[in-house]
Amino acid sequence: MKKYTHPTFAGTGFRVLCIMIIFFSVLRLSAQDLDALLEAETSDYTDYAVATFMGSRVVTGHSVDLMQKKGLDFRIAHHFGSIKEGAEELYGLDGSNSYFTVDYGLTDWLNVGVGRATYQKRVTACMKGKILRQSTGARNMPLTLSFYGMVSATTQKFSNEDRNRDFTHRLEYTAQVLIARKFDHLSLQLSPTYVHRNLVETPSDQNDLLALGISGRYKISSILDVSAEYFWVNHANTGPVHYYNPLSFAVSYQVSHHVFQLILTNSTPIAENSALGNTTGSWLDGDVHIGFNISTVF
Amino acid sequence: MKRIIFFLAMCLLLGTASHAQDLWLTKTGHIYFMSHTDAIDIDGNNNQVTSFLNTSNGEIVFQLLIKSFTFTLATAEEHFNETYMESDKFPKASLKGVLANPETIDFGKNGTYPVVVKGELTIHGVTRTIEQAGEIVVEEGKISAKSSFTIAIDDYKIKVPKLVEDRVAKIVDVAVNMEYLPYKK
Repeated sequence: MKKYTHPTFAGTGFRVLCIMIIFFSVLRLSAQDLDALLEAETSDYTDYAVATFMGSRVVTGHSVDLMQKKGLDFRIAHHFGSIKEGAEELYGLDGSNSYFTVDYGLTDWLNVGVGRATYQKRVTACMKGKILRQSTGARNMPLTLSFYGMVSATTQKFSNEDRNRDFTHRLEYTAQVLIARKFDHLSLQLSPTYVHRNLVETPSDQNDLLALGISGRYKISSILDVSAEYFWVNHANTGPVHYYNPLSFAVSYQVSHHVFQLILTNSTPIAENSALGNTTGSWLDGDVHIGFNISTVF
Repeated sequence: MKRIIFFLAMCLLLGTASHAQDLWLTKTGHIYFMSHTDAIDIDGNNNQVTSFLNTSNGEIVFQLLIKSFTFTLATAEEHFNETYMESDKFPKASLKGVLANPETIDFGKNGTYPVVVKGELTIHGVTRTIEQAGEIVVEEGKISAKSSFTIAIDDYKIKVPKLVEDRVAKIVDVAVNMEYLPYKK
């Protein structure tokens, strides 16, 4: 009936239990080393890749990087005439082709921009978005992926008066997927591209172009890098004008909120639709242009 | 036997409860810094600072990810991570410290208590012993820790390219604000 008639048994048991509890509490305390707890609580950090390229362009083509929210990138891109023109034309520096652009960060992942290019007197409007961000840690993502879409309208008068009646004849479109990975000092990018031109000069010119861009940059120091960019374009080249694939190199230099890029390229036009569609210079013929980009971020 | 089990359970519960109360945690601590020069003011905010405070022995530790700093100035994030902090090489900053005078604080009573934190501050891979004043505020079951101090960037081997030397302060102002809640495992 009486279960607890043996007081010594309960007493001993109680003492043993107390000792055990104290022992385990001490054990718990040492296990709860704050450093280890801190590591445990911060293990869910995600480390995103920052600045895959030095700004929004690799050379003339877009990079995966975007302006941050409310950031404004004013950019002057310039390609001079061909260095083949010789000393009289100061190796092309007398002739010039520019592309002014303004890109603005609506959010950290969505940018909009407008531009004006000398080549065919075009105005452009673009949108660029970031879909995936390269990261390690709690979230692992091997690549950064952005998209870029651009509409370009020529403001030149067509010599054929009929063509001037329909605005759609003036339009060209570019759609790009930008896929990049940053490996420490080296960043590499693939840019599958589609260009559609509503009106082309001759029947032998293609309305649709497919291109694949391969570009990369090597960071020499925090303010200096070198980059290269090549676009393979599916030019059929059945007409009288031979089109080449644009290949460009740049040395980029960054001071505060300015980026200067000194460029060598075979392409006269700068905006994507024209650079991919209308590059007539050939590196092998020495038909190369000096150029520069100046970017100022506000 | 039943009584013993009951006792054991009570003791374990009490033990755990009292222990948890000693440990306070925040994962959304705020650290602000300002680099003021005549040319430009650059400020950054980090709202993802993790910190533990052990009220039983005054131990206090902080850890943050350099890349979690956000900036109002465009391009500042890139320069901060790529040029100055080299955050790919040194992703974290931390402080492992103790309150020099924990016995003067009654963590159970509302009030503002001046404190001195002594510890090892690691930034940009450089660890230095620091001693900074701050305050602990106890208010209705919450504990917060605040401190403002300065950091000489040379001390942590943070290099600034010559061309932008006049745009980055040699002494950076830092403000820390942690709002702790009881740590529950």
